[in-house]
Amino acid sequence: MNLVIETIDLWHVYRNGVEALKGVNFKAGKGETTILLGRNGAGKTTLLLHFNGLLKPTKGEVLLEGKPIRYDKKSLFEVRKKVGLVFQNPDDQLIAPVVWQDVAFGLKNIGLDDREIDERVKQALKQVGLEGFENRLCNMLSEGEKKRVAIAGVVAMEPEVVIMDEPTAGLDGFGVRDIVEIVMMLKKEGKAIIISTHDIDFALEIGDRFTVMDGGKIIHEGKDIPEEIAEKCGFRRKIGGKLIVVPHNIPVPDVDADFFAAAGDLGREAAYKAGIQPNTECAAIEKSILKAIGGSTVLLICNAEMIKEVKKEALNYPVKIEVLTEGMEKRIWESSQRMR
Amino acid sequence: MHRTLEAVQVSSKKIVRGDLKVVFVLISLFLTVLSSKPTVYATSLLIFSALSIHAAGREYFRILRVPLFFLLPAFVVIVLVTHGNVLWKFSFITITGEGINLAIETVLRALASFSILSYLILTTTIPEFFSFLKRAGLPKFIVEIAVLIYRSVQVLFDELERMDEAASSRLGYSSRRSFIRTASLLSYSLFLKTLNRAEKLEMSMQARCYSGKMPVKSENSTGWGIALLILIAIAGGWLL
Repeated sequence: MNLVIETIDLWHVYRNGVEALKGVNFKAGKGETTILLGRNGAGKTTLLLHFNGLLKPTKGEVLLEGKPIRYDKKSLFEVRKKVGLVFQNPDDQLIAPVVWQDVAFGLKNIGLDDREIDERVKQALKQVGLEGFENRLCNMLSEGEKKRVAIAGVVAMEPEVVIMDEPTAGLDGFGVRDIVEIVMMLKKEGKAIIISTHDIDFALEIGDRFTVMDGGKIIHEGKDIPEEIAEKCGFRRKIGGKLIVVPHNIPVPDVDADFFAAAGDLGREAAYKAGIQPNTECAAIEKSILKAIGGSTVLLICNAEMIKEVKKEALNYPVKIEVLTEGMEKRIWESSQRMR
Repeated sequence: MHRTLEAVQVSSKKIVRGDLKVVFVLISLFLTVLSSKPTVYATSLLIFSALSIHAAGREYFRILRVPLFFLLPAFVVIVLVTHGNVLWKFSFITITGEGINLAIETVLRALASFSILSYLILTTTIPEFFSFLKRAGLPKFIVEIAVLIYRSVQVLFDELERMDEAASSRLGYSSRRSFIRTASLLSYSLFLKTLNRAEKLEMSMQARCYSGKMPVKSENSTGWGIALLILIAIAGGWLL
């Protein structure tokens, strides 16, 4: 991963004594969308404010493109040119009363000439789908439009890193869709994007890497969000049924499943050997996931080599997935016996 | 529900645009106020009432109501207290020809001036006006403070509206006593929010590379022909 932002043992203690960050080691790569998840008060916003130099660490350091951020005026100016921050509440971010004036704010302050400012403002508003809004007053915009103006203000600066704090908070479905499109566009341009959110569906749709925080610490970092972490942090997600995946090379447990599926030659062979007549053998993975979304308990027997693929596919959907490993089938069998 | 003045300003039809609009209105105002001829007042009143109605329709009459509340009593007072040839007398009340003339002249001048200003009010937003003032030489820091204050007022006003609705829905104004208590609580909360807002504004400005500059947009001036014609018409009133 080509790191753009990294924190090393980052601590932050507020003046009232609250320890918001306790030794955070965060990484975000170029051209990637890093999602920061966590319950309220987990320290997400505090961490984001460090990336832009708005907060100074109590201990530890923040590296931007491998170099530690320095906190003198000149260095911070350079940091803020490279790292754009979109606040959670657009009213906190929109400084000027007119849309054009607000998007042009940063550009004027970094010393661009009026012609270039005009071009960049036009381009940024076009990118966020607000063409022709230049002369509108900010307080007459809808919440979604205000959010897009706030993003345009950051996009116009052409930063290398775009940070968004809860970009979908308070937005309806269409608003969320607009934000997804904007994030995809920024990603295409090769920018590093860091987004803090509570919206797990939004996160799964756009995220490449997921960092989960709790109590000022990172408790998970990876390319997916394990169900137990999602549950622990109370992410709102409508979970359907359960998908139990059994590789062909372990004994098939006696599970009271609603639907049986077998994928791959070895998987089918293992199913027949265990005396199970699969409900489907064709497009078994997709059908299993669909059944599980519908609320069924599904037992999927497949080639051991396919497990990774099944797991990756299932993590995109609101399905509880359990992959059995050697020895686990015995425990499942025992628990199903107890249930009976 | 009626529209806010800002909504009217943004959507109004503008025959004259850009800095020219402000300059044209200010020159018209000076020509009208400095003149002592009722023909000038009448011309200005007619032209700018027509322009305002064209720009914002009945919103013009809505804002015209306010000065009328002051002008009508003033008209009566001037008629009653001015000495001259008595036209009508009843007990201690006397109405003079000079009184009526002076009252009509005063009201006409006030209405003409107001109609000119109302055209400016109905077609120009505050940021647009300050952009003009900046280009006209007003110190940058004044413009910057004015723009920031205006934006903060917008946000706080929205905040106040929300709090007011919340207070009403929770019977905050059910009696005179609760009205006073609610009003005091509301102002206290708004004060705290103002402080909070100042902190957030500072943070946002820092995050966006603030180095002491506030951009102002310049709109191209259009409508030179009509502006010139109107100014000639008003100036023509001086000659009559």
